[in-house]
Amino acid sequence: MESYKDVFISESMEHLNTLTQGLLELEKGNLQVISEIFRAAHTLKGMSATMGYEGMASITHEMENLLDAIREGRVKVTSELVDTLFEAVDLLEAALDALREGDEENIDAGEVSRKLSRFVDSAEEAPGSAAGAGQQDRDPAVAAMDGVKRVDIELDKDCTLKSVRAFMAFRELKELGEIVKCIPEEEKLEDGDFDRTFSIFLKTGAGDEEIKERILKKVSEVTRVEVTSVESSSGGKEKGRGGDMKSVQTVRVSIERLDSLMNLVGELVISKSRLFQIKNKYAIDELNETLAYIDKLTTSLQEEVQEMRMVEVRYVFDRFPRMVRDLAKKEGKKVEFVVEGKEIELDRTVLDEIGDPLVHLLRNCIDHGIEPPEERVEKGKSEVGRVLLRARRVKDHVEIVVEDDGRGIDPEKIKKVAVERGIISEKEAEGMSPEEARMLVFMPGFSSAEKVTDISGRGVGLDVVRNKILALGGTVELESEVDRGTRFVLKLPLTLAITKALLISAGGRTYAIPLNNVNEILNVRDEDITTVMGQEVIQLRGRILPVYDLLELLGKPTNGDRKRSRPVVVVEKGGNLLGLAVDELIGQQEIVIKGLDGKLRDVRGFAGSTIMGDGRVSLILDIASLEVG
Amino acid sequence: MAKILVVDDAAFMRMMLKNILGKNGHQIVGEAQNGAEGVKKYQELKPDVVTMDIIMPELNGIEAVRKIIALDPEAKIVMVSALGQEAMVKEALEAGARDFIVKPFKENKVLEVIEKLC
Repeated sequence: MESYKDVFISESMEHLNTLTQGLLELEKGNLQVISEIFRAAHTLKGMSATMGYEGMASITHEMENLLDAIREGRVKVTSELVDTLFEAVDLLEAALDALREGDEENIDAGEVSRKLSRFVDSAEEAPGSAAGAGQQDRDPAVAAMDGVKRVDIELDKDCTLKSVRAFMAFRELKELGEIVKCIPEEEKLEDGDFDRTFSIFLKTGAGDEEIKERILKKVSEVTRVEVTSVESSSGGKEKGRGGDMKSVQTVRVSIERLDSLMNLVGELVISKSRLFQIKNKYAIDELNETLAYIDKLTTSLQEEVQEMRMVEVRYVFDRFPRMVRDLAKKEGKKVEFVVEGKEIELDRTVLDEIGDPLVHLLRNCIDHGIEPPEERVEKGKSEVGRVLLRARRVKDHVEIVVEDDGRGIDPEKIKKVAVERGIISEKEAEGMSPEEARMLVFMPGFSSAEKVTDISGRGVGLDVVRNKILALGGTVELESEVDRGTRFVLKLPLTLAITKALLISAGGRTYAIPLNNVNEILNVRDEDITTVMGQEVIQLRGRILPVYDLLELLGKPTNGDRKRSRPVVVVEKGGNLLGLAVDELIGQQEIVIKGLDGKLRDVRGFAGSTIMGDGRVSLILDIASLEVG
Repeated sequence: MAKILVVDDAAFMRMMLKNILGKNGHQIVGEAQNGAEGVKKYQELKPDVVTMDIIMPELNGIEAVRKIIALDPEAKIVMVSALGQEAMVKEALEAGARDFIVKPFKENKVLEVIEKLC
């Protein structure tokens, strides 16, 4: 039953998500979502009853009743009612968590079920209410997917060549229609990698009995066959698009396989640049055309694979409205939460990593940013605070903004706290610009919460958020104005594995600088460089730009006799520009990022390594962690 | 009751099958020691069901299925397989075999398969 359970869990999660989104809408007074939530509850009820999870089935049953009553206008939506429905959703989620951990569902459905049914009962007692109970089977929301049947087949427990039995069942069913999907996936069936049961989804005109008969008659060692019509279970949205079958004609592929595909593509990119080098070395002109074609193909292949790994940020964003609601309620704050750009896509690996940082930033907004209603009114602001979460595609990266219109970050306060905690000295504090002071919130050990709540200010600070984003090759920016609000801007790369880089050489070695760190490249003559307070600087369009010798920053011996002019790569670091003087520019190239393992991982200044076309390894500079001065 | 032809190169396996089928009312009309002999006997005896081992000298079970099906597309052939022969069993099924049983036999399984075919 294992595979069944996995499908059950993942499908149930989707339904719970639909429920959560729907309930939030419902709370806002949008009654149109009721069919959708009703359908989710209904499907969940059916699924959990089938799996024998009685607690879940009982809760969803009561939810269904209540939602039905709301739909028919017998029960009014109140804040209390939505709270109770949320409570039910929480319990269902807890049950799923337990199941995922391999435990029993382990929930006590009694209390919530009773609470839910009380809403219906009290309405029934009220005069003039229609007697609408007992009609659960009337369910317009569940539309049968056109002609697709699910055939569940159970094999005898001593069946030895299970894969061949599955194969026979496939063969028989193919005679009756078109197989659109199976659980577990076909490969597992072929390897016999399943327990006693498997399911085949068949698009067919044949009747249930006919299908059942055929399997029982033609395939031996079958102990049970069940045929059911497939309900469109993936929420309401997909439905309107027509062509229901499309949703089934997809294949689930595990992330690991995509990762390994990506790796292979990476290797291909390396081999490609190697071929280019050979071509150049021997000046083989005939290779030009083929290589150009291979180049095009690898690029398309790479884009294709990258595309496959892209997931809408919705999957992470969708859980926030609920979280914001709960937090605001708990803190007695009024918050309007706006989410934009849910359809923006990010690499799955990147997306997985940003969930926690976003939770943290949003919590900060509500906990520290948004003021209590009275305070807002006193300041002449609207009573309701506004929190914005927006994703946007900007060139080759994705920008995520978390913004509030709350207190803002007061640089003076920040300085004071930083001095108190010994992060900076009083003298340092004096010389700081407001921008620099605000950046202190990203320092380890900094937490400006005056009281520690269970929401934020638990010592897990913004430094963790920042490090996470930097580790992903992204950046975090902070803008804030006292009493106007705070805005965090995260810039994230679309993908992690392959990036464009500027190759440079310094001290006889080649280094790669990710192109998204590079602002511009200058050629600086020696006489342009002046020294200000012991720091070499140049004038760049009227601004002072500090210039560092890259070798020096990396702690390597510098070559004594300096050339008369050197290339300087201008990079952005923590909001400031600085120049890195190098020996030579080599060119721009796609590089495949390989992580640094073990002890090397903690070496600051490097983001990883890459293999060059000629097989040599070079290090990728991590501008963010490069120690300057 | 079915008339059955048993094709197997191992006398022991033929005996096992004969015992199981015989005592449950089926009639063993013939035996063959390899695929070629099996094909020949099929033509002579026109049995209701053939049990066919897979690995045999001269002509293996899969080839024998192909030949018999070519002669009689309605032939009911049950493959006798050992564990780990999934691929071969599938090949035989594609060639036209109707079902299979796995060694070591369980009496009820053998009967289930045979009776389903009759």
